[in-house]
Amino acid sequence: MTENPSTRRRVLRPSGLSVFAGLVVFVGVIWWLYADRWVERGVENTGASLTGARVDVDAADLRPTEGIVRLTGLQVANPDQPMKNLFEAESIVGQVRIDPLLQKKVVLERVEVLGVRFGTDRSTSGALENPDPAAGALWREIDAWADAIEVPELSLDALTGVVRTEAISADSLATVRFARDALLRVDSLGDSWDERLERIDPRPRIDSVRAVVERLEQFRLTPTTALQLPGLLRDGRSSLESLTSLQREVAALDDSVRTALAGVVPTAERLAELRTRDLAYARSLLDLPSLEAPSVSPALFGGTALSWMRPMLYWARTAERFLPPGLDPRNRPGPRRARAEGTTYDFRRGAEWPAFLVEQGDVTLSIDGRGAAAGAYTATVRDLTTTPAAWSEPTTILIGREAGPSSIQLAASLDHTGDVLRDSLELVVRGLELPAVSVSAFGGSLSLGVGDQRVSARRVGDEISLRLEWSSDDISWQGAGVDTTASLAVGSADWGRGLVQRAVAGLERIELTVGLDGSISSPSLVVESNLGGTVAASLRREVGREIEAAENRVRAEVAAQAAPHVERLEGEVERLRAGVAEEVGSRRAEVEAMRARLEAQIEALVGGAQTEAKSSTTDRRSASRTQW
Amino acid sequence: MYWIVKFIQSLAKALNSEGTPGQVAAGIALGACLGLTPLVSLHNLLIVGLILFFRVSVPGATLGWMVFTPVGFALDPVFHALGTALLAESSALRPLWVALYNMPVVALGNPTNTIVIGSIVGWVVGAVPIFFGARAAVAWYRATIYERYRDARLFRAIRASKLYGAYRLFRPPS
Repeated sequence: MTENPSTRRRVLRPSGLSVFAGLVVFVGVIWWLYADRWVERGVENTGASLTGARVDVDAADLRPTEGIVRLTGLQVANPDQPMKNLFEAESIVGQVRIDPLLQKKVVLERVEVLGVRFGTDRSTSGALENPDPAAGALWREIDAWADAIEVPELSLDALTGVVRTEAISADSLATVRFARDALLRVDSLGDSWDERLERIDPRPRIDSVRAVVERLEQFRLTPTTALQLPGLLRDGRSSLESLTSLQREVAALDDSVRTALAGVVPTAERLAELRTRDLAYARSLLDLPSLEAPSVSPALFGGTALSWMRPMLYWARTAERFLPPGLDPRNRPGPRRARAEGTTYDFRRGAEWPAFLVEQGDVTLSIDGRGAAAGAYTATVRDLTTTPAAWSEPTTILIGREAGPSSIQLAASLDHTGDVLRDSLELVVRGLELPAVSVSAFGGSLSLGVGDQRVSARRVGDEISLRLEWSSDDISWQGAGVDTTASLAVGSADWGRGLVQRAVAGLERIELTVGLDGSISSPSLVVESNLGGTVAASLRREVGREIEAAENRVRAEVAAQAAPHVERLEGEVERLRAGVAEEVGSRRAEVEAMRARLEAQIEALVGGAQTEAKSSTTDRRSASRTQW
Repeated sequence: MYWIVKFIQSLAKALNSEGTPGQVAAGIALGACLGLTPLVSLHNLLIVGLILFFRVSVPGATLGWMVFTPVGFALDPVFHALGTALLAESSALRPLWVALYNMPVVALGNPTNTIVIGSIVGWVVGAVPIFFGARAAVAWYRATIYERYRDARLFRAIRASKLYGAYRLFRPPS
């Protein structure tokens, strides 16, 4: 059957095809005219959501036929310092694969980034009017973590005045609280034992046994009473079993008393532990400085270390956010439009290409200025993707130095291909001009001069270990000059500055390590430095005697407040133990005595019965012989 | 006000045009897709192609678009919920979404967005009732109201597309 052409003409409108073609051409022309602008806006918006600060691009040039995209004048603002750029790049040229673009995937076969500079000034603020809420929430979380970390203080004020022990409150001493609690338990145990003693009162059972014993004692075995003997013996043995049961109950009570009291009385180790806690508490009230090196280093550099670690933690967590592990579908807000945005799901399992991939990126970096780090560097990035699990190759970053007096080596691997993140980074820079480190405890700063920097980071799953190590032979103290020969009041600011000045002067090399350890959501801060040990030794040498005397006074005060409570506890325990022992002893003695009487009577009756039985047998034999 | 006038013009053109009630209804059903789903989407280019290539009523499609655009905005929460149920909560459909997500050109249409997929499914489900409802309504209109008032001055004016010009003459100075 052939189709009627007139019917087809009624259904189709051939002229509409040319109108549609015209429309498609029109859309194509519009896209051609505005594609560069859209790429520019896309980079700016994506970059802003990634960094939490403004990203500006001077111009974008898209050449779809050649698969090339070129960005010039890229500036990425620093979210912490809006008037500074995190970095800027003169030009970025990317070779884009066309096939993945048709799947809405951006795959850059090769990227060349030229003229990267760090920390440059901005003419306008880089703060966002409406920052990404997720980035803001992350910063708030990290700020909360930083606020929760207690950086120890190195205050020498307590050495200058009289040590006032009035602040030590007995209610706050762990030993006193323990003794009070234990006393309450002793009272409660005393009541409980009185009740149990009453419950196993042996008097009725002893009276009953006594009655049986007396019946046994009064019994005289004759031929007429012989028939009562089995009943009496049965009663006697039953009473004996009752006494045995009573003895077991009394013994169990005795054991229970001893065990419970042993649990209440503090051991020597427990008392020592409580005393240590009380001393730490009392010391904290008096701000006596610890002279141990592990405490001095965090006190000297803790605040500075926290300020360095905050951004590092932020970027570590941001890497997780934008390079998530695993292949489960992810969701993100849909495109901005007049209609609701909805949620766009990324189904990554089985995807031929990741949503974003840089197969190879070559970056030319330059650090301006006359510093030791100034110079030209080259970096290579491979397999950088937002869907690591779909690409199965870990991201690697390598940086080498092309020119300049210092050396730099960086190797990083971000393995997000499995469900468990495995990241590692090792950066070694030699001959770098290190920054000055503020030491607020002594009102100055420590210039580290030119030295070496090593950054190492390792992450497996949620566990992170991050270290930033600086070492330098070129250190000096920056602050108000102090006449180190003058006699200064111990603990005064000048005295403190002088002390650090002398410690630094005697130090040939400084090594400072700050880092993070533990869960990425709440890691602990690590601060170590040989300067801490040197300052601690100087402090011990110069103020050791004062601190020792102050500590002795604190120790004596703590002991004076705690001792009466412990003594009272020990007295109460002893009183209870003695009382219960006496009660239990008297019960036990009474039961033992009754048992002895009963056993003797039973034995006597059994013996008498056997003798009587023998004599009866002899009499019957004699009688029978006579009859015979 | 401009849009109200344009709407009345479209309404009149669609209902009074020479197309059959079926052509007008098909136009309205296809135009409903433009109104119910996000307009700047790849699938709507295809819909426009269908409207132009098939002999359906273009004024009818315009009318469908205008009528269903506010409906689309109002139903966005429903479309989002429907899209979420289909995309995230139905494991049986997962292979289909993966295939669409990775399909060249189709992936550019954002097929895994809850609003897009929810509204397309909503339109597909509603297209047949819209078509038959519109066809019956147009037939009834032409047999009754249009027959009665076809020579009325107002109808003639609208048919001649003069109403907007008249409105411009009398609108208050801005």
